[in-house]
Amino acid sequence: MAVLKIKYTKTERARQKKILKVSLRMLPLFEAMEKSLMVTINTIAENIERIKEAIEQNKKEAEPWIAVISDSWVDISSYISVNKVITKPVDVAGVRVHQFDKVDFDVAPITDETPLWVDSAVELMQDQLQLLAEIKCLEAQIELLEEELLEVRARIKLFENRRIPNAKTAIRKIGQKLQDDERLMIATAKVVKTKKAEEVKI
Amino acid sequence: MSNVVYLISSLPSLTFGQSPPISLDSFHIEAKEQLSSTNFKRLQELDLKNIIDAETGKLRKFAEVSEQLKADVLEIRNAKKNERNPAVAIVPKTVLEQNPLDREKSIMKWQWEQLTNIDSGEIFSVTAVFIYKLKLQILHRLNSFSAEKGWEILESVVNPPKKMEEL
Repeated sequence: MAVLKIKYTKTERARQKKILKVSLRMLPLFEAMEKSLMVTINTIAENIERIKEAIEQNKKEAEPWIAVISDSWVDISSYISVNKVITKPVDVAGVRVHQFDKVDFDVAPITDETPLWVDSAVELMQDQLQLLAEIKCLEAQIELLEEELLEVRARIKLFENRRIPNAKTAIRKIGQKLQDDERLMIATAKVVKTKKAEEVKI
Repeated sequence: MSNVVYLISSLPSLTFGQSPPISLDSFHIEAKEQLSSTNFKRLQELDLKNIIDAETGKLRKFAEVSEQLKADVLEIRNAKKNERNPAVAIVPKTVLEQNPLDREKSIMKWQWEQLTNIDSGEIFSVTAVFIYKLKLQILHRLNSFSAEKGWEILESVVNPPKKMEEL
Protein backbone atom coordinates (compact mmCIF):
# COMPACT_ATOMS: atom_id res chain seq x y z
CA MET A 1 0.00 0.00 0.00
CA ALA A 2 1.35 3.41 -1.01
CA VAL A 3 2.36 5.75 1.81
CA LEU A 4 -0.24 8.43 2.30
CA LYS A 5 1.17 11.84 1.41
CA ILE A 6 -0.49 14.50 3.46
CA LYS A 7 -0.26 18.25 3.31
CA TYR A 8 -0.48 19.36 6.90
CA THR A 9 -2.58 22.43 6.34
CA LYS A 10 -5.97 23.58 7.52
CA THR A 11 -7.11 23.74 3.89
CA GLU A 12 -6.11 20.11 3.38
CA ARG A 13 -7.90 19.12 6.57
CA ALA A 14 -11.05 20.85 5.32
CA ARG A 15 -10.68 19.07 1.97
CA GLN A 16 -10.26 15.69 3.66
CA LYS A 17 -13.30 16.37 5.83
CA LYS A 18 -15.30 17.10 2.71
CA ILE A 19 -14.07 13.86 1.11
CA LEU A 20 -15.06 11.93 4.25
CA LYS A 21 -18.49 13.55 4.35
CA VAL A 22 -19.18 12.82 0.68
CA SER A 23 -17.82 9.27 0.97
CA LEU A 24 -19.95 8.50 4.01
CA ARG A 25 -22.96 9.81 2.15
CA MET A 26 -22.20 7.84 -1.04
CA LEU A 27 -21.29 4.51 0.56
CA PRO A 28 -24.89 3.61 1.56
CA LEU A 29 -26.04 4.59 -1.93
CA PHE A 30 -23.60 2.19 -3.52
CA GLU A 31 -24.55 -0.47 -0.98
CA ALA A 32 -28.22 0.02 -1.90
CA MET A 33 -27.28 -0.16 -5.57
CA GLU A 34 -25.38 -3.40 -4.94
CA LYS A 35 -28.39 -4.85 -3.16
CA SER A 36 -30.75 -3.73 -5.92
CA LEU A 37 -28.51 -5.22 -8.61
CA MET A 38 -28.27 -8.52 -6.72
CA VAL A 39 -32.05 -8.68 -6.27
CA THR A 40 -32.58 -7.88 -9.97
CA ILE A 41 -30.06 -10.49 -11.08
CA ASN A 42 -31.75 -13.10 -8.86
CA THR A 43 -35.18 -12.15 -10.21
CA ILE A 44 -33.93 -12.49 -13.80
CA ALA A 45 -32.30 -15.83 -12.95
CA GLU A 46 -35.64 -17.00 -11.53
CA ASN A 47 -37.37 -15.85 -14.73
CA ILE A 48 -34.88 -17.86 -16.76
CA GLU A 49 -35.69 -20.91 -14.64
CA ARG A 50 -39.41 -20.34 -15.18
CA ILE A 51 -38.90 -20.09 -18.94
CA LYS A 52 -36.79 -23.26 -18.90
CA GLU A 53 -39.64 -24.99 -17.07
CA ALA A 54 -42.05 -23.75 -19.76
CA ILE A 55 -39.74 -25.18 -22.44
CA GLU A 56 -39.71 -28.53 -20.62
CA GLN A 57 -43.49 -28.39 -20.23
CA ASN A 58 -43.88 -27.81 -23.98
CA LYS A 59 -41.62 -30.78 -24.63
CA LYS A 60 -43.63 -32.91 -22.23
CA GLU A 61 -46.85 -31.95 -24.00
CA ALA A 62 -45.29 -32.71 -27.40
CA GLU A 63 -43.86 -36.06 -26.29
CA PRO A 64 -46.90 -38.15 -27.35
CA TRP A 65 -46.77 -36.84 -30.91
CA ILE A 66 -43.14 -35.84 -31.46
CA ALA A 67 -42.56 -38.87 -33.73
CA VAL A 68 -44.67 -37.30 -36.48
CA ILE A 69 -42.06 -34.54 -36.89
CA SER A 70 -39.79 -37.05 -38.60
CA ASP A 71 -42.43 -37.58 -41.33
CA SER A 72 -40.52 -38.45 -44.50
CA TRP A 73 -42.97 -36.36 -46.52
CA VAL A 74 -42.14 -33.10 -44.81
CA ASP A 75 -38.95 -31.20 -44.11
CA ILE A 76 -40.25 -29.23 -41.15
CA SER A 77 -37.00 -27.27 -40.80
CA SER A 78 -37.83 -25.52 -44.07
CA TYR A 79 -41.09 -24.18 -42.59
CA ILE A 80 -39.72 -21.94 -39.88
CA SER A 81 -36.69 -19.85 -39.08
CA VAL A 82 -35.95 -16.81 -36.97
CA ASN A 83 -35.68 -13.64 -38.99
CA LYS A 84 -34.96 -11.28 -36.11
CA VAL A 85 -35.25 -11.09 -32.34
CA ILE A 86 -36.86 -7.76 -31.49
CA THR A 87 -35.84 -6.09 -28.25
CA LYS A 88 -36.34 -2.67 -26.71
CA PRO A 89 -33.88 -0.78 -24.54
CA VAL A 90 -34.94 -0.34 -20.92
CA ASP A 91 -33.26 0.68 -17.68
CA VAL A 92 -33.06 -2.12 -15.15
CA ALA A 93 -31.54 -1.18 -11.79
CA GLY A 94 -29.97 1.82 -13.48
CA VAL A 95 -28.40 -0.22 -16.27
CA ARG A 96 -29.45 0.09 -19.91
CA VAL A 97 -30.34 -3.40 -21.14
CA HIS A 98 -32.29 -4.93 -24.01
CA GLN A 99 -35.67 -6.30 -23.02
CA PHE A 100 -37.16 -9.09 -25.10
CA ASP A 101 -40.17 -7.99 -27.12
CA LYS A 102 -40.90 -10.64 -29.73
CA VAL A 103 -39.39 -12.85 -32.39
CA ASP A 104 -39.97 -12.10 -36.03
CA PHE A 105 -40.30 -15.48 -37.74
CA ASP A 106 -39.99 -16.49 -41.35
CA VAL A 107 -42.77 -19.05 -41.75
CA ALA A 108 -43.22 -20.82 -45.06
CA PRO A 109 -46.79 -20.78 -46.37
CA ILE A 110 -48.86 -23.81 -45.48
CA THR A 111 -50.54 -25.21 -48.58
CA ASP A 112 -53.53 -27.52 -48.97
CA GLU A 113 -51.12 -30.44 -49.40
CA THR A 114 -49.34 -29.73 -46.11
CA PRO A 115 -50.22 -32.36 -43.49
CA LEU A 116 -52.19 -31.09 -40.50
CA TRP A 117 -49.48 -31.95 -37.99
CA VAL A 118 -47.22 -29.28 -39.54
CA ASP A 119 -49.43 -26.56 -37.98
CA SER A 120 -48.88 -28.00 -34.49
CA ALA A 121 -45.16 -28.50 -35.09
CA VAL A 122 -44.72 -24.92 -36.34
CA GLU A 123 -46.60 -23.64 -33.25
CA LEU A 124 -44.39 -25.75 -30.97
CA MET A 125 -41.24 -24.54 -32.70
CA GLN A 126 -42.36 -20.91 -32.54
CA ASP A 127 -43.04 -21.27 -28.82
CA GLN A 128 -39.70 -22.90 -28.15
CA LEU A 129 -37.74 -20.45 -30.31
CA GLN A 130 -39.47 -17.52 -28.63
CA LEU A 131 -38.76 -18.86 -25.14
CA LEU A 132 -35.12 -19.55 -26.03
CA ALA A 133 -34.74 -16.05 -27.48
CA GLU A 134 -36.19 -14.65 -24.26
CA ILE A 135 -33.64 -16.66 -22.24
CA LYS A 136 -30.81 -15.31 -24.40
CA CYS A 137 -32.01 -11.73 -23.80
CA LEU A 138 -32.24 -12.33 -20.06
CA GLU A 139 -28.80 -13.92 -19.97
CA ALA A 140 -27.40 -10.87 -21.77
CA GLN A 141 -29.13 -8.68 -19.17
CA ILE A 142 -27.52 -10.67 -16.35
CA GLU A 143 -24.14 -10.28 -18.01
CA LEU A 144 -24.51 -6.49 -18.15
CA LEU A 145 -25.88 -6.29 -14.61
CA GLU A 146 -23.05 -8.45 -13.29
CA GLU A 147 -20.53 -6.12 -14.95
CA GLU A 148 -22.23 -3.21 -13.21
CA LEU A 149 -22.31 -5.14 -9.94
CA LEU A 150 -18.55 -5.70 -10.16
CA GLU A 151 -18.02 -1.97 -10.68
CA VAL A 152 -20.29 -1.07 -7.77
CA ARG A 153 -18.54 -3.59 -5.52
CA ALA A 154 -15.17 -2.14 -6.53
CA ARG A 155 -16.43 1.31 -5.58
CA ILE A 156 -17.75 0.09 -2.24
CA LYS A 157 -14.39 -1.53 -1.59
CA LEU A 158 -12.66 1.70 -2.58
CA PHE A 159 -14.79 3.73 -0.17
CA GLU A 160 -14.59 1.21 2.66
CA ASN A 161 -10.90 0.37 2.38
CA ARG A 162 -9.30 3.48 0.92
CA ARG A 163 -11.16 6.76 0.76
CA ILE A 164 -12.90 6.71 4.15
CA PRO A 165 -9.96 5.31 6.21
CA ASN A 166 -7.50 7.52 4.31
CA ALA A 167 -9.59 10.63 4.91
CA LYS A 168 -9.98 9.73 8.60
CA THR A 169 -6.25 9.10 8.96
CA ALA A 170 -5.42 12.32 7.11
CA ILE A 171 -7.82 14.35 9.29
CA ARG A 172 -6.38 12.78 12.49
CA LYS A 173 -2.76 13.30 11.41
CA ILE A 174 -3.35 16.86 10.21
CA GLY A 175 -5.17 17.58 13.47
CA GLN A 176 -2.30 16.21 15.53
CA LYS A 177 0.27 18.09 13.46
CA LEU A 178 -1.65 21.33 13.69
CA GLN A 179 -2.02 20.83 17.47
CA ASP A 180 1.68 20.09 17.76
CA ASP A 181 2.48 23.18 15.70
CA GLU A 182 0.23 25.27 17.89
CA ARG A 183 1.81 23.94 21.08
CA LEU A 184 5.27 24.53 19.64
CA MET A 185 4.29 28.04 18.67
CA ILE A 186 2.95 28.75 22.19
CA ALA A 187 6.04 27.22 23.76
CA THR A 188 8.31 29.22 21.48
CA ALA A 189 6.35 32.37 22.22
CA LYS A 190 6.68 31.67 25.94
CA VAL A 191 10.43 31.09 25.61
CA VAL A 192 10.80 34.33 23.63
CA LYS A 193 8.73 36.17 26.19
CA THR A 194 10.76 34.75 29.08
CA LYS A 195 14.02 35.64 27.33
CA LYS A 196 12.80 39.14 26.67
CA ALA A 197 11.74 39.47 30.31
CA GLU A 198 15.18 38.31 31.47
CA GLU A 199 16.91 40.79 29.13
CA VAL A 200 14.78 43.60 30.58
CA LYS A 201 15.80 42.60 34.11
CA ILE A 202 19.48 42.63 33.15
CA MET B 1 -52.45 -59.83 -67.68
CA SER B 2 -50.39 -62.87 -66.64
CA ASN B 3 -47.47 -60.58 -65.94
CA VAL B 4 -49.63 -58.53 -63.58
CA VAL B 5 -50.81 -61.74 -61.88
CA TYR B 6 -47.18 -62.83 -61.54
CA LEU B 7 -46.15 -59.44 -60.17
CA ILE B 8 -48.94 -59.26 -57.60
CA SER B 9 -48.37 -62.85 -56.51
CA SER B 10 -44.67 -62.22 -56.03
CA LEU B 11 -45.12 -59.10 -53.91
CA PRO B 12 -45.25 -59.46 -50.12
CA SER B 13 -48.65 -58.76 -48.60
CA LEU B 14 -49.13 -55.46 -46.83
CA THR B 15 -50.76 -54.81 -43.45
CA PHE B 16 -51.38 -51.35 -42.01
CA GLY B 17 -48.93 -50.60 -39.23
CA GLN B 18 -46.27 -53.11 -40.25
CA SER B 19 -42.74 -52.20 -41.34
CA PRO B 20 -42.65 -51.95 -45.14
CA PRO B 21 -41.59 -55.40 -46.36
CA ILE B 22 -40.13 -53.98 -49.57
CA SER B 23 -38.55 -50.71 -50.56
CA LEU B 24 -40.20 -48.51 -53.17
CA ASP B 25 -37.13 -48.84 -55.38
CA SER B 26 -37.26 -52.65 -55.25
CA PHE B 27 -40.98 -52.49 -55.98
CA HIS B 28 -40.35 -50.30 -59.01
CA ILE B 29 -37.62 -52.63 -60.28
CA GLU B 30 -39.94 -55.62 -60.02
CA ALA B 31 -42.85 -53.74 -61.56
CA LYS B 32 -40.73 -52.50 -64.46
CA GLU B 33 -40.00 -56.08 -65.44
CA GLN B 34 -43.65 -57.09 -65.51
CA LEU B 35 -45.61 -54.01 -66.61
CA SER B 36 -45.92 -52.44 -70.03
CA SER B 37 -43.97 -49.23 -70.46
CA THR B 38 -47.20 -47.19 -70.43
CA ASN B 39 -48.44 -48.75 -67.21
CA PHE B 40 -45.01 -48.52 -65.62
CA LYS B 41 -44.82 -44.82 -66.51
CA ARG B 42 -48.23 -44.34 -64.88
CA LEU B 43 -47.02 -46.27 -61.84
CA GLN B 44 -43.89 -44.13 -61.57
CA GLU B 45 -45.90 -40.93 -61.76
CA LEU B 46 -48.43 -42.14 -59.22
CA ASP B 47 -47.80 -40.49 -55.86
CA LEU B 48 -50.00 -40.52 -52.78
CA LYS B 49 -48.82 -36.98 -52.00
CA ASN B 50 -50.16 -35.80 -55.28
CA ILE B 51 -53.15 -37.83 -56.36
CA ILE B 52 -54.60 -35.76 -59.17
CA ASP B 53 -57.96 -35.50 -60.88
CA ALA B 54 -56.41 -36.90 -64.04
CA GLU B 55 -56.45 -40.35 -62.46
CA THR B 56 -58.81 -42.66 -64.28
CA GLY B 57 -60.81 -45.75 -63.42
CA LYS B 58 -61.02 -46.88 -59.83
CA LEU B 59 -58.20 -44.57 -58.80
CA ARG B 60 -60.30 -41.63 -59.86
CA LYS B 61 -62.60 -42.43 -56.95
CA PHE B 62 -59.63 -42.37 -54.60
CA ALA B 63 -58.46 -39.08 -56.10
CA GLU B 64 -61.92 -37.65 -55.45
CA VAL B 65 -62.01 -38.68 -51.79
CA SER B 66 -58.47 -37.38 -51.44
CA GLU B 67 -59.71 -34.02 -52.71
CA GLN B 68 -62.51 -34.15 -50.11
CA LEU B 69 -59.89 -34.93 -47.49
CA LYS B 70 -57.92 -31.86 -48.58
CA ALA B 71 -61.09 -29.79 -48.30
CA ASP B 72 -61.63 -31.12 -44.77
CA VAL B 73 -58.05 -30.31 -43.81
CA LEU B 74 -58.55 -26.79 -45.13
CA GLU B 75 -61.80 -26.50 -43.15
CA ILE B 76 -60.03 -27.70 -39.97
CA ARG B 77 -57.37 -25.03 -40.49
CA ASN B 78 -59.91 -22.29 -41.14
CA ALA B 79 -62.01 -23.33 -38.15
CA LYS B 80 -58.97 -23.20 -35.90
CA LYS B 81 -58.02 -19.77 -37.24
CA ASN B 82 -61.56 -18.48 -36.63
CA GLU B 83 -61.95 -20.35 -33.32
CA ARG B 84 -65.01 -22.33 -34.34
CA ASN B 85 -65.90 -26.00 -34.69
CA PRO B 86 -64.95 -27.42 -38.08
CA ALA B 87 -67.69 -28.77 -40.33
CA VAL B 88 -65.89 -31.74 -41.86
CA ALA B 89 -67.34 -33.95 -44.56
CA ILE B 90 -65.34 -37.16 -44.44
CA VAL B 91 -62.84 -36.89 -41.58
CA PRO B 92 -64.36 -38.55 -38.48
CA LYS B 93 -64.98 -36.03 -35.66
CA THR B 94 -62.99 -38.19 -33.22
CA VAL B 95 -59.89 -37.55 -35.31
CA LEU B 96 -60.14 -33.83 -34.52
CA GLU B 97 -59.60 -34.47 -30.83
CA GLN B 98 -56.51 -36.59 -31.34
CA ASN B 99 -52.93 -35.42 -30.99
CA PRO B 100 -51.10 -34.59 -34.26
CA LEU B 101 -49.47 -38.04 -34.52
CA ASP B 102 -52.61 -40.06 -33.87
CA ARG B 103 -54.56 -37.73 -36.14
CA GLU B 104 -52.11 -38.29 -38.98
CA LYS B 105 -52.17 -42.04 -38.37
CA SER B 106 -55.98 -42.02 -38.39
CA ILE B 107 -56.01 -40.13 -41.68
CA MET B 108 -53.52 -42.62 -43.14
CA LYS B 109 -55.60 -45.52 -41.84
CA TRP B 110 -58.61 -43.93 -43.47
CA GLN B 111 -56.68 -43.65 -46.76
CA TRP B 112 -55.61 -47.29 -46.37
CA GLU B 113 -59.22 -48.40 -45.92
CA GLN B 114 -60.31 -46.40 -48.95
CA LEU B 115 -57.63 -48.14 -50.99
CA THR B 116 -58.61 -51.54 -49.58
CA ASN B 117 -62.22 -50.94 -50.61
CA ILE B 118 -61.12 -50.25 -54.18
CA ASP B 119 -58.64 -53.10 -54.07
CA SER B 120 -61.24 -55.73 -53.15
CA GLY B 121 -62.71 -55.63 -56.64
CA GLU B 122 -59.42 -55.29 -58.45
CA ILE B 123 -57.47 -58.45 -57.71
CA PHE B 124 -54.83 -59.13 -60.37
CA SER B 125 -55.48 -55.94 -62.34
CA VAL B 126 -53.04 -53.13 -62.94
CA THR B 127 -55.13 -51.02 -60.56
CA ALA B 128 -54.16 -53.48 -57.83
CA VAL B 129 -50.50 -52.73 -58.59
CA PHE B 130 -51.18 -49.02 -58.35
CA ILE B 131 -53.00 -49.50 -55.06
CA TYR B 132 -50.12 -51.63 -53.83
CA LYS B 133 -47.76 -48.73 -54.49
CA LEU B 134 -50.00 -46.26 -52.67
CA LYS B 135 -50.29 -48.61 -49.69
CA LEU B 136 -46.53 -49.16 -49.73
CA GLN B 137 -46.07 -45.37 -49.65
CA ILE B 138 -48.37 -45.22 -46.62
CA LEU B 139 -46.30 -47.88 -44.85
CA HIS B 140 -43.04 -46.13 -45.65
CA ARG B 141 -44.42 -42.86 -44.40
CA LEU B 142 -45.78 -44.50 -41.27
CA ASN B 143 -42.43 -46.17 -40.71
CA SER B 144 -40.64 -42.81 -40.87
CA PHE B 145 -42.37 -41.67 -37.67
CA SER B 146 -39.74 -41.94 -34.96
CA ALA B 147 -39.76 -40.18 -31.60
CA GLU B 148 -35.96 -40.19 -31.47
CA LYS B 149 -35.66 -38.56 -34.89
CA GLY B 150 -38.50 -36.21 -34.01
CA TRP B 151 -36.59 -34.88 -31.00
CA GLU B 152 -33.44 -34.54 -33.12
CA ILE B 153 -35.29 -32.51 -35.75
CA LEU B 154 -36.97 -30.31 -33.12
CA GLU B 155 -33.62 -29.70 -31.46
CA SER B 156 -31.93 -28.88 -34.80
CA VAL B 157 -34.60 -26.26 -35.52
CA VAL B 158 -34.97 -24.60 -32.12
CA ASN B 159 -31.37 -24.97 -31.01
CA PRO B 160 -29.12 -25.14 -34.07
CA PRO B 161 -25.41 -25.78 -33.49
CA LYS B 162 -23.50 -22.55 -32.81
CA LYS B 163 -21.28 -22.95 -35.88
CA MET B 164 -24.37 -23.02 -38.08
CA GLU B 165 -25.64 -19.87 -36.39
CA GLU B 166 -22.39 -18.05 -37.01
CA LEU B 167 -22.46 -19.01 -40.67
